[in-house]
Amino acid sequence: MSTYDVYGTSTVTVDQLRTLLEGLLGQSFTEHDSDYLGGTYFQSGERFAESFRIVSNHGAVDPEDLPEPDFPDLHVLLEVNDSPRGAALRRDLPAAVPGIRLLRTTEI
Amino acid sequence: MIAPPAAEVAPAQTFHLPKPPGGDPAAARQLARALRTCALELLAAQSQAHEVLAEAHQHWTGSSACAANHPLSELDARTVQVARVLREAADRFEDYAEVLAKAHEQHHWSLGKILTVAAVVVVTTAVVVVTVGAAAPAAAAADAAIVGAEVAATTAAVGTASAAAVEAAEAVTVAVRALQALRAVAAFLRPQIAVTAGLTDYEAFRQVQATGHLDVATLATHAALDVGLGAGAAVAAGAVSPFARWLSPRVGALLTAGAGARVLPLGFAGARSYARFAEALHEGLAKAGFPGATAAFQGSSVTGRSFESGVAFDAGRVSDFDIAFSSEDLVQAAKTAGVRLRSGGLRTGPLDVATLRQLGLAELAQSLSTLAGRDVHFMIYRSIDDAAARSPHLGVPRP
Repeated sequence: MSTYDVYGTSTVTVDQLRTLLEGLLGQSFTEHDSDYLGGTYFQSGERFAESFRIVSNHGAVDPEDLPEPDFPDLHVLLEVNDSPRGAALRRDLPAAVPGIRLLRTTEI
Repeated sequence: MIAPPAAEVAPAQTFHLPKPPGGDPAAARQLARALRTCALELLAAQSQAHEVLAEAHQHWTGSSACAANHPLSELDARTVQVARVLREAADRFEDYAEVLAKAHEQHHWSLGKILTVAAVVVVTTAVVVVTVGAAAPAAAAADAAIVGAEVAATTAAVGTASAAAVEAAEAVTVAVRALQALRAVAAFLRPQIAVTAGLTDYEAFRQVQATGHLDVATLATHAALDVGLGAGAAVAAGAVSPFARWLSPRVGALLTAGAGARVLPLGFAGARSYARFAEALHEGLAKAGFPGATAAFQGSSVTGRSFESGVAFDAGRVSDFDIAFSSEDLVQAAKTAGVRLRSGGLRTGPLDVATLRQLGLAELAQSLSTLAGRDVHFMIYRSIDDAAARSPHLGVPRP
């Protein structure tokens, strides 16, 4: 079974979250660009294995264009895909990243 | 160890020649005329919206009526700006047509050769591979083979044609971006008018989102509509619908015109690698159980720049591929998987990894990402027209 978590925060910026996570996870993020994902975003790891993605969730004229339109007040999102560290992150992230909260967990 | 000279190690670069509109000055002038007509029609539609709202104000007063003017003033500002940009784009295409004709007269070269040479002139990289798109004139394909020898012989006229082509392409890109911004305002305006008019009931919002229209009689059945709003509210709401209907196909047409300047999506070494990608995509869709789905590239591989930042494709980082799928079966599968539909049920959001796995599309996304050397994202639409109305697209051909 794989677990996919989505977190959100409006307390830190994309860059700040990137720096925090690079320290916490001990791995670096690379810059990507996709209009579907709202422009610039950052990813660490292999997308279809354990991976982490930091996405901006603001700036769209139409809230429907946000990656997470149900959470327009949370301007920065973190997706944790298929991570064996998922449970530990659910426990540790709130202490490590100001204002972060778990929005959704999907198990497949 | 001393590194070899840069010229010896520079990787081959492929430049996809922009497909000129028809490849001749007349076609460039035709596009210029179309851009001017579009600007005029845009301003006419703006006037129409004003007239209808003015008529509404004869019967509709109070704070709600006053508030209705705010979104329209926002539309005004954007409309004037877009009309100006459209006219500027038209100017650039007329300039382009003129210098192209002069170069043709001076060199007695075919238009295809002028365009090919002009495209190469702007490139100073050591190794250049010129790829002429399938839609380009056949003469240009033949000329491309000898273009290397001809570049040295180029004169100012061809150089000017090159600069004009770049300016025209940039101008139309600006126009497309401005129209996209205007479309966003229109999308904002429709529900805003409904809310402003006091039709805050969910049914009203849903109806506008789904159909672009407000049927007041139906709404009155669904909700206890404030009778004090009278006909004014309905007319005010209706004022935007014709505008939105007018705007949608024109945005689509111009976006397609902008995209049409590109023969292939950016990010492919040439037509052959694109064909391999297209074949793998359609095979993967069939394998996933969606053989009837159609696909189209969107995003910066089509427009050349990030919509959010304006940064060029692949500049300083690897840009991803954004691909729209159109399939009723896929929409139904997404609904069954609990995916939230957006834009009144016309599309999903970008599919995340969990959703890709749920829909059986993860393997396809992964194999295409490997093939392309960059991440590939999917979004599902009910139709490609719906995708085209949102942003420029390039259809993925079936093998």
